[in-house]
Amino acid sequence: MNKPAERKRLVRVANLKKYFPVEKGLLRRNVGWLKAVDGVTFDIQEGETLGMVGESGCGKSTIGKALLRAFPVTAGQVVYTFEGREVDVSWASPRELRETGFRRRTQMIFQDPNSSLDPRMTVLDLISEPLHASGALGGSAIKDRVAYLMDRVGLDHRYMKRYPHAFSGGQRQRISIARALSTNPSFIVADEPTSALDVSIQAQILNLMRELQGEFKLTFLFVSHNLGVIRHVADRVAVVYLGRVVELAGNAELFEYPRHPYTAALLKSIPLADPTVESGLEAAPGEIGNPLNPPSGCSFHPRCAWATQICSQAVPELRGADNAHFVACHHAAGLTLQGIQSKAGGIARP
Amino acid sequence: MADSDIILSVRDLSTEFTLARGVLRAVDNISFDLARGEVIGLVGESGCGKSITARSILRLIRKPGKSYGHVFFSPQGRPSIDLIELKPMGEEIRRIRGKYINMIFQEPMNALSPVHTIADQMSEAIMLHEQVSQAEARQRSIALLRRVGIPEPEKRIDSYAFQLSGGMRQRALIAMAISCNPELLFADEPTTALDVSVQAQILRLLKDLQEQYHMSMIFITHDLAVVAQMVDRVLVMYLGQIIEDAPVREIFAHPRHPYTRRLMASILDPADRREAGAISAIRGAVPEPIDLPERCCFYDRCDEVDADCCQRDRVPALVDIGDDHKVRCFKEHNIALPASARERR
Repeated sequence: MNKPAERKRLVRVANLKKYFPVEKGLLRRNVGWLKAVDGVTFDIQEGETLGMVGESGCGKSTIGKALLRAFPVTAGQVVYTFEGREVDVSWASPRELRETGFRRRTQMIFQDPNSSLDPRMTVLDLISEPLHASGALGGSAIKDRVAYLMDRVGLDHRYMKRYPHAFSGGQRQRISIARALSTNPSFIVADEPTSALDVSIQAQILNLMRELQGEFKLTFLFVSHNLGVIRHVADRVAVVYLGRVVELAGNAELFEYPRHPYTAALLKSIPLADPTVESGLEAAPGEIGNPLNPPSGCSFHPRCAWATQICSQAVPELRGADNAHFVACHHAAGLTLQGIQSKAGGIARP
Repeated sequence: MADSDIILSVRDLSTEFTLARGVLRAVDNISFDLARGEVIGLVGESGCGKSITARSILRLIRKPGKSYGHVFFSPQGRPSIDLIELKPMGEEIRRIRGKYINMIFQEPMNALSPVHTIADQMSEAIMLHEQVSQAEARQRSIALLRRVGIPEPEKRIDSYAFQLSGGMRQRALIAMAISCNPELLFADEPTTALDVSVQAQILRLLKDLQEQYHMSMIFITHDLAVVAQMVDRVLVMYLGQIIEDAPVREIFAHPRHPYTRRLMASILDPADRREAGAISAIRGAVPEPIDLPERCCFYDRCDEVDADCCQRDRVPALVDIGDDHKVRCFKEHNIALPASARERR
């Protein structure tokens, strides 16, 4: 891994918020806001894979989509640096988004290739659609590009006239990857790209994504609920709980020395493939809070064993500690939490 | 082990679906025994036949599917019955299903009725199998909901499925499944649709209930980590066949079938990060089980195929290689069998 200092920042996210209106009745009266993302701040470095973990409904996918301007954001900034030039996409018009090259340079891979690929389009149409939209290539150049991409992701390009149903689940996800690569992007949001796949196929896809990352100089935001997957693909990991990033640190650092009680609880709830040691049968009490009406202060406080009065009153800020380890907990400094010890020998700790 | 300790004895069970394209053999001649109080894990990837095995045992296979073989079920203090001989929709199997044998499904939203309250659905199940009044059934339902960890069960019992969270729905489904004290419980991917922290709560609950009621369980999952934590014995399935059968500690310590080994290597263990490109994958994909050639089912994808040993025109048998460990691989047989026996084959 490169030293962080040598890396350039690709994306800067500052105080990003996305609220969805909650409507009721025939007149669609607005009765409240669902705060899917409620003030998150982080950077993504060029060439890294930032893993984003959290449970369903925590807002991790919304963060990914907001970074791609899939919808207007409620507040905050998303600033990309393309070849030294800063582009703030949070408030840009669709035209600006296209003209600055943002649409071409950013792509997305979805969870379920069965629903993300139009069953009535051939593989050729599916992979070339972004190329047509960007207008970068024309005519036979498009076909050549599709053939090249298909070979590159491990598909036989002779099958480009076939429809998605003729491919297996893993192959369909390869089609999605080829489609995402078609415009030569620098940043890809991968939203649970392997969650619909079997383990042996999942491994193929993760290996492919890693190869392509080096070859195409890609930066990934890898969104997943699966901590095992995140452990293997991410350089740094952000843990999201009820619309906020509660912890952000280097991969080994986060798994071995978690500093937020929620992260520690999450790690404890992972079952390990070792029948001689009991694991994965313990979790934080209760359930994830309601995003329509989140708990006051630190939203994890009703489930936290270390919660005190301040936790229900003030929202803890995401603060940096040593080793570029950021945590949003009032009591982080005083806690020693248990992580998962690495079998290969952990990282050194003074 | 005396025969009376065996609650379920599956012998040469096959399930086939006759389709226009040919005969799809979803379950291919499987045999195993389940002891009272034992938890077996049926493991494999999608399409390996693990869910169809459970459905075949419960006689839930619809046309054009058909099951063959024997499934001897021996409830406590009653004579054993061959479930395959019963009519799939008949009176007898319906008396057994829901009372002696029950099942928990993967997606609780689909398994629960959207138009009935939890109270209706639970009372129906209890009153169908036992002579109790509506009021008694309701009281028992409330007690069961409390047992599975649903807060304020007196109130929640009148909820509809959509008013409960995913974890609560699965708890309600578990309460329903144990409402008549079944002796055998199938759990088909019971936590796959849930988040990890909810999964941990549900696994803990299932483990406690299994121990408390001394239930026999068949746990169906693709997740080897869950298997490691939940079961006593593991049956690995591939293309409808059991390819390995061993106690949980034995199989994790000494996986013998190449498929099992590759499957274990592809687990993304959070305690053991592998570096770039080194996540172990199995090449190719599982073929469709229609008109497959008579040979080892893993032949095309196996990295350890040995031309001298792996015969092209025969299916290897599931052979006991000691330590209560069975494996369906020519190479293992040849190592396990004495040299003289090897020559005779």
